[in-house]
Formats: sequence, structure tokens, C-alpha cells
Amino acid sequence: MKILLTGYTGNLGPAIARELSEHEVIACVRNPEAAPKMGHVRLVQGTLMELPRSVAGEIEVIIHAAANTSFVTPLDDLRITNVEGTRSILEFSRARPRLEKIIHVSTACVCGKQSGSVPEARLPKPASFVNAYEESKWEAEELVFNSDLPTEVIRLSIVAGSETDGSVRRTGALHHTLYWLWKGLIPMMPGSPDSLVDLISTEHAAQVVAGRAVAGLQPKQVTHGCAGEAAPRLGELLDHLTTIFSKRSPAWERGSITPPMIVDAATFALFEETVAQSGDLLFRRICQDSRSFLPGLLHPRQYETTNSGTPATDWRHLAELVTGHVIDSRS
Amino acid sequence: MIETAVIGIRSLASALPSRFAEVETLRTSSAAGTLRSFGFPGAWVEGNASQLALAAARKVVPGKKIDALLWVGALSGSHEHASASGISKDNVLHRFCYPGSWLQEELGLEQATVSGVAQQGCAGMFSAMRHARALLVAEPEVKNVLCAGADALPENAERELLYNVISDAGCACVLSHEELLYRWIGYHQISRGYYWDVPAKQSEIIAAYFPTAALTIRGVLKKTGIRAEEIDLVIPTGVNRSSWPILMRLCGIPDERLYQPEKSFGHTIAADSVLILEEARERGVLRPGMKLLLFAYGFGSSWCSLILETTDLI
Repeated sequence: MKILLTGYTGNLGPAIARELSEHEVIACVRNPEAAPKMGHVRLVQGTLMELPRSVAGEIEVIIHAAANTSFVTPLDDLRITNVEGTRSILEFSRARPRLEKIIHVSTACVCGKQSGSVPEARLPKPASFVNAYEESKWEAEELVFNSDLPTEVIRLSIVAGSETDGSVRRTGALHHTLYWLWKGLIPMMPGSPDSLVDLISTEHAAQVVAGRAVAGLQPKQVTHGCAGEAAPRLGELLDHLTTIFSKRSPAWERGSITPPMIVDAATFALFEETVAQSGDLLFRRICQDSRSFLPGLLHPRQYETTNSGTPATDWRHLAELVTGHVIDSRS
Repeated sequence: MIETAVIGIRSLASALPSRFAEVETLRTSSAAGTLRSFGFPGAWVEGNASQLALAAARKVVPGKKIDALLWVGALSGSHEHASASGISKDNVLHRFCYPGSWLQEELGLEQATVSGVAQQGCAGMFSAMRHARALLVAEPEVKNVLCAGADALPENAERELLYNVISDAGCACVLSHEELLYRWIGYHQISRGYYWDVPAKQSEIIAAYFPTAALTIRGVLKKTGIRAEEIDLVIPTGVNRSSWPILMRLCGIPDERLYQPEKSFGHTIAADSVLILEEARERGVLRPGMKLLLFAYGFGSSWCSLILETTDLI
């Protein structure tokens, strides 16, 4: 099978390509010289707006995994990559006789501030989103659902890192937060102890995407690459992180550092306000890193995982590997 | 056997210097506007620690036979009193001139034994009261314990400490078995030596403040069997006022139970709770049978929480 992959140089791209080693992957990249090299991956130069027409006739499957995943970028800027980029992919896909399927890689957070069970289905526009990234990805999904092309959508939750060594190609809000936690610099986190924190490994995310790419088309199907019911609750995740930190630090082991409290939205807002008033640069950065990620914990929900199943790897093992990697790489 | 249930605070008082300086005229790291927004219009300055403690102690001692005196000071300089001798200041004998002993002499407390409480930062008075109570419990012949102390910063010193503007002040209280204004209900302290290096761990201390404060307050509530909603009034300290509503929420105490001081004292290191408790009493806010929660954090680091109950003498 010949598969066009966007986002090859991103967090997940190489892992998806590895899962497709029995196929020919055509990776659309800006700079082929700087991209990872794999035997079955053909690097072709291009962007979302200037897709490689030369290979268009060969392509059987498109995996659109490229996205601007910044949680702090304004919506209009995010739309350029996430919405217009998706529109460009869909237009590129028209009149390709060999094309069987387009996999659109999305985020589980397109449900915004919705609480409760999140179905593997097209979602009505949420009343509000935690950040503009979520909104731009929801808009991109709408383009996909409204098209008459053979599309499927895969929504991934938080891709924490590798389940073999904890590594991550690009650190994000989760990793920054883990580091600040380790340093004892996060006094409180919004949410409730029972809020699920849906973490998955890079490998699981890649397996779900690759699996759907080579399977038979299920038109407009949504598949959640999520931990679902296997996800940890915030309270038990913090307990586990304390255990991990305790193995590495006498201060944590002795209880000298008190883990953060889990607080409601109003209390967290008061804390953020105080930090903003103080002008403290370090805590402003910590709040900025936390703001885009932590408020999602205020909306407890569980993602359905009927179409893909839950990850094989236990979240405790994944959390320990990723946390260790974050600490070691920043120490 | 001593009945510990009837130990408490018999009297308390404070003393401030005569001059209040606007925050704009003080040496601070943060902008004056920021500090004003945190509740610091200025600070009481140009105080002398020994004299401030003496002024406060004179208000609480008359009519009481004091059996023990505990001197309280957060700053190392607060544990030295100026010698009248003309010998060189480099002479080590100057280091042995203690303000606690000087205070005993000034007040004529010949029956009292003297010791000091240090290394507790702004929680010093809480710690002194705890030790005073322990003395009253352990030694039946001890009837009244005076806790007194003060801290004053040198002239033109930096007045800001982690977003708090520091005032000079002294305070004193007598713990006893009789004629109590406040009955001692319970106390809980958490000390974390991990944070001893204050300059190096400023940010970690700021982060640790809230969760450890909440643990401390929950600890005293658990020890005493009192539920958060049964606290009638929380007596704040003079630290950054924006921190108190957060702490109230973390502990599950309704916002309206936080006492709002009318006067501006700044953050007087160890005298805050005494100053504010005095003000609340003077304003007629306190009624018999009220459960009061007091909390203080001191560099070192120690988080201290105290529950008092007002008596009919309030």
C-alpha cells in the first residue's frame, strides 16, 4: 500500500511510519534533509498548502497527522495549519482514482469543556473550549465530516511518550507540568481527585492510526486512541507521581515536599490571579504551562474506546518511564 | 494532675513604632502599586526591638506573678541587646547580652526563669505560646508565662520579603490557668527543614506555602475534632491579603469567616496575630464561645495553626 503521511517530523510521525513498515510511506516534509530516515519511507518535499502533485496518482491512503499543537497560539493562527491545512488535504484528495481512504488525526479534546462520556462519533460544537487548539481541531473535523470523500477520524488523547523508554520527540504541556511537579513548584491543580487523566503511549497512538490506515474503510467512523476506562484518576496519578519522585529524591521520600492540592476552578483562578498580580516570572511561566492543560481536568469525562480498545500498557509503567525521561533530560 | 483544658491566654498586647512610612518611600523589590494591591500601603518603621517588646510587655504584666519569660525573635539581631559598656563591639561578650534578660530586669520579674525562642521566623510567637503552655502543663508551680518579643529591621533596610512589606512591631502575652480571655483548644505545627536555605529556595517555599498550610490547618482541626465550618473566625496575619481567600477555600472554611482588619499593620513578622486579634477585640467582633483559628508561617520552615476559644471575659 502507498500511504501519504503528513506530520512525519512531528511528535507522532516517525512512530506511525514505523508501524507501517510493510507498506511504502511517502512522507511530505518541508526539509527532507532534516527528516528522520527509514528504509520504507520516501521523503518528498512539500507543505500542506503545496502538496506534492508528483506522487498524487500513486497514493492509496492519506494519513493527515500534521497540526499546530500549540495550546497558547491564537485561534486565527491555528486555523491556518489545522483548518486550512485540512481543507488543502481534502482538495488534494479529489479525483485520485487509487485513493481508498483519508485518515484525519484529531484530538480527543475536540469535546471542549464537555463532561461525562464522550462517544466515538461526530460531536456537536461544544459550548466552549479549554483552548483555541481544541476549537481549531473541531473545525477541521467538521470539514472532514462534511466532505464526500472516504474519510475516517482518529482522536488521540494525551500522547505522553514512549512505553519502552519514556522518550518524547517534542515536549508539551504535560511534560512541562511533570517537571514543575518534580521541582515542587506546583502548589495546586484544578480538577477533582476522580477526574480521569487520559494518557497514552506514542506506540499505542501510532498503532491505532496505522491500524485504521490499513483496515477496510468505515466511512466517517471515529476511533478514539485513548486510555478510556483504563485511564488513571487525577488523585491516583498524583499519588503515583509522588512514589516515582520519592525513588529519586530524599526530599520527596521524606515528605519534605508536599504534593499539590487538587482544587476547584475558583480556587485555581484566585491563585492564578495572585501570580499575575505579583509579576513573578517563574510562577507566571508555570501557570502559563499549566493553563492550557490543567483546566481540562475540571471537566471529568471518559472517552469511549469501542473501536480500538484500551492500551496494553498499564498507565503506571508509562507514567514512570515518561517522568523519568523528563527529569533526566532536564537535569 | 493539671487540668489542661483551662490553660489559655490571659492577656495580650502589642506595640508599634511611632512612624508609618508610605510604601513608595520604602526599599522594595516589587513596584509600590503591586504591593499596595496586596494590602500594603506602607510599613511601621524606625522601631527598636527591645523597646517595642518592653512597651508591649508592660501592658500585660501588671498584677501578675510571672514564673517564666520566653523571649521571641525571628531575626538573629533580635536576640541581642545593646550593651551599656564602652568596650569594642568586636568583643564577643556583646553576643551574650540578651534582650530576654534585659526585659526581666526592666520589668522586675525576679521570680521568672528566662529563655528564648528563635529560628521560627514569623511563627515565633505561636511557638513561644506552645512552649509556654507545655510549661504550664508540665510544671505545676508555674502559673503565668510571659511570651514577649519583637523584630525591627535596620534603618533603610529592604522592606519586602516575598511580596510582603515588613513592619517593625513588638508583642507580648501571658499564658495562664486563670482569668483567661482565650482558652487554648489545640495546636498543630509542621516543620520542614528542607526549606532552611531561604535565598536558594524562595520559589519552592512559595509553592509549598499553600498545600502545607492547608495540611497544618486540617491537622489542628483533626486533633481537636472541630469541623472547618465550626470555626467562627479566622484571624489572618499581615501577609499578602490575596493569599487568605485561597487558604480559606483550601481548608473549606466559608469566606465570610475571615476577619478583615481595619488598620494597616503591614507584616510585622511574629506580632501579626496579636495585633489583629487585639483589633478584633477592640472592635467588638469577638463574643464569648467563639472558636478562632490562627495560622502563621515562619521561615525555617514552620507552618503553625492554633485554635482558641473566647471566654466570658472577652
